[in-house]
Amino acid sequence: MIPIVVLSLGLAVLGMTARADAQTVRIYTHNDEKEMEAFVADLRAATGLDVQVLRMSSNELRARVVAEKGNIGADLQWGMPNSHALLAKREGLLEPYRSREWDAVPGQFKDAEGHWYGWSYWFNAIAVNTEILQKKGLPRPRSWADLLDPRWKGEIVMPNPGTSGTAYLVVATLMQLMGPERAWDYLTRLDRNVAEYTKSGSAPAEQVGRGQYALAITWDQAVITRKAKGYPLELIIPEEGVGFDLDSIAIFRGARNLAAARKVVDYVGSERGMRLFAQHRSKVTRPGIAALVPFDPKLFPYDAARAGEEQDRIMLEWKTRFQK
Amino acid sequence: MSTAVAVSPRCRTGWAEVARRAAREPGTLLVAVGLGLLLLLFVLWPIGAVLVQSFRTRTGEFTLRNYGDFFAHRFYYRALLNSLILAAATTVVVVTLGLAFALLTTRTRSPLRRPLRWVALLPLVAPPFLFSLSLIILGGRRGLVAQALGLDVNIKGWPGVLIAQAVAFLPLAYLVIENVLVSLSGTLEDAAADLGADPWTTLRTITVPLALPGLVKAGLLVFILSLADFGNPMLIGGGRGFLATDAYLLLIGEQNAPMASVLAVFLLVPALGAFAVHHLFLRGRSFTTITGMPAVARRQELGPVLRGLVLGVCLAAALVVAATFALVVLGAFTEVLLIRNRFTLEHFRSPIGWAALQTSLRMSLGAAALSAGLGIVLAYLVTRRQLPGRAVLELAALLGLAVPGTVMGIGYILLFNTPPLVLTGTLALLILNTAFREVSVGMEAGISKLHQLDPSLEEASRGLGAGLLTTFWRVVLPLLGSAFAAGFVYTFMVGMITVSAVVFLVAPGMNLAAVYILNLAETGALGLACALSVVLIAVVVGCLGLLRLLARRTGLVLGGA
Repeated sequence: MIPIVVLSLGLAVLGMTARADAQTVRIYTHNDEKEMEAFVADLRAATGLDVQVLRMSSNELRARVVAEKGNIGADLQWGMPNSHALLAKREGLLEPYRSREWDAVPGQFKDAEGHWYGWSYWFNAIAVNTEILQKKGLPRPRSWADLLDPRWKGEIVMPNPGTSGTAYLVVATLMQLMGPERAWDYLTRLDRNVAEYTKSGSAPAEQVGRGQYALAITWDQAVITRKAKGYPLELIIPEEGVGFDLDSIAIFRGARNLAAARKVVDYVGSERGMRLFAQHRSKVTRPGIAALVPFDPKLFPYDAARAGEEQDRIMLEWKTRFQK
Repeated sequence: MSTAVAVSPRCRTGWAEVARRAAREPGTLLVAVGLGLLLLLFVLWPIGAVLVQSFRTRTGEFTLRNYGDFFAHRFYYRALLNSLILAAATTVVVVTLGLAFALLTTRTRSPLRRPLRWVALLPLVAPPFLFSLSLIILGGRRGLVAQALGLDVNIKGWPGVLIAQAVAFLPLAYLVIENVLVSLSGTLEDAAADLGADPWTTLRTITVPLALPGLVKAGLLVFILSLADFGNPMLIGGGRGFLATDAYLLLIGEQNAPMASVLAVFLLVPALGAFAVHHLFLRGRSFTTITGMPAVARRQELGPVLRGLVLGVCLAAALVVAATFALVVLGAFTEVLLIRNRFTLEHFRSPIGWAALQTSLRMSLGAAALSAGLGIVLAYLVTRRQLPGRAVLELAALLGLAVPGTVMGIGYILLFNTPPLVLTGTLALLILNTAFREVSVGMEAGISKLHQLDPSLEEASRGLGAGLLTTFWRVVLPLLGSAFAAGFVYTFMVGMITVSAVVFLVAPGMNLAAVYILNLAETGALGLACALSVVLIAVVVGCLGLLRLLARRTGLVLGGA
């Protein structure tokens, strides 16, 4: 008995003392699990770094980074909404770095002082389950306005803007597109048709792909990857245009392993990295590399900085109106 | 100083006596103070931090506004109502089911009672939210049931959470109630039957009233578990607000630590209330009917009608349990369940999942060792050494278990992310959190064991010249082996499947399997979630088997199931 006690206490102590070493880089990400596994494998091969990843939804990470200010639990974040990068820069959370690898990327996709770089962008999209549409005789929606038709009642699923960057992008885009008053009126009428608000931005595409609901408000990749897997989905860009987000990478101030973090930024801007990302992403920012989306969606000229500033106010209003 | 404090002479000698004794055993005192400080740091202080934070603005000034906001906004107080309603409903359902299973296994000779017992205990080894996962496949909109029957049903919302929680918490309620029913001697039931009472009357007027403390205890336990449950409301609540999940989303999703703390306080109050009722009124109270007197009782059996009813209820519940497990296994080996039903092993190839599983194992083993070790030392100090403040030590240890995980998680994040103690992102913090939440299990087992052991053994050892440490090491510890094992096994199991507190504490390279499964399930990656669940359950069952084997080899008796 006593040897067991000693042994297990020893194990406990041993487990507690394990720590990260100099070749280790710690990354926060909101990137999809599957694609991140491929990215990390290639990053390891290209740089020889030991990579540790924590995946959470973008708002969860934003909260975490703010709470951890001064001792952020990662060296950098690879995969963050541009609005969060803009806010983080203003709050002094980011460490600037000028990477030569990013020279080829146009200025509109990166910070002039090197605080953040945009490596790909994605956009909101609507997805419908073609089998259910056919079975129930529902029309293919063409615009945001079409979703207010009472025939969609109980058939729409969208993410919760409190937890999902995808959903907040929808809400913020509508605010800028219609003006606050008409946008709230739109969301109120939409709410009557919405069956469920999910925590993550990809979940609606999964649920509609599985046939739980007929229509998802989501983002492009959530639809394209699942369509490729055989889900009966069709991607629709509403004719008013959709919000888009420049997915960014940024090093945190106070990074424990700055040299390794810079290597990651270099890798993400490199031709090698971008070619890999192009296999998983709608659009990448390095010119001349074709990514998954062959067409150019109608993008709404969305002001990310303003959306970031208005987030608290919009969310309070949203919860007051729609939280059950 | 001329103004002497008025202390009664008796009290003064009492303290003096205690102080003198403590001075004779400086080592004991040192250990007690050390343990007290650890409990203060890792149990009481985090709770305090949550309380303090709930009275602060985001910039740190004192305010009462947060509580005003709570009652001003429907989306805050609605979560409190939802949580209380759910906890009450779950308690009623689970205690009823637990009683049915306990009656079946102790008051009938049904050949099904052994297999049904195992099915009822099965949920112990799975993450509590596993049942939401399969209920979505089973009863979701256009799920298995809806497709088979051509109905438009959606289990998400109230029915889903209620069923999922009922399945998840059934084993604990069942074990508590069964324990009570077994310890009731059959003599009174015999007497009732001999006096002409039919089985229903016997059950109603003898068995249930005698088992009442056990039923209430099971009810309080389930109530606390339901309140603190995190995963089920998240997965199958259909977007409805519940305290534990909303507190998490407020802190993690909206960076609103003050409001998250307010919600945590409203989670804490009912849980502590249930704990207080249990601690003050129920602990140690039972209607003892087994005495030293030899009593030969036939074990009374339920009549045919009652037996049929109980069996029916149990079979229905067992069917749900078995179906949920079966669906998870199916989902693990199917490409996309219900859409592309082809066999695959692809879901098992997830490097992140395997890494998380490894972390879970290391964390659980570390926490189990720490919590069981501290638990029996605490038990010894509390029962055998006359220490000032030992009741406080015991209470602090018990609090770890009673306080909802969400509260602890928020407290840990508030405390251990800023100097002087920066522990976030380390395995150590996960281990400490889990160990101190479960430390009372080993302690309670140790206390009840020590109450059965005559102190004369220790006195003999000391009389023969052995020091206190030697006596503890060579006499007490070997006798407490089973208590250590009970604490170890329980903490290990909980460590592998727990979510509610550690979800706040995971970090890059330091994710836990149960948290990762919840994450996968929430984004709808059901195949991956099912596969990792299957592996997790297999690992837990395997480790339990291994521990049992080890225990048998070393001659230990494992407590509980």
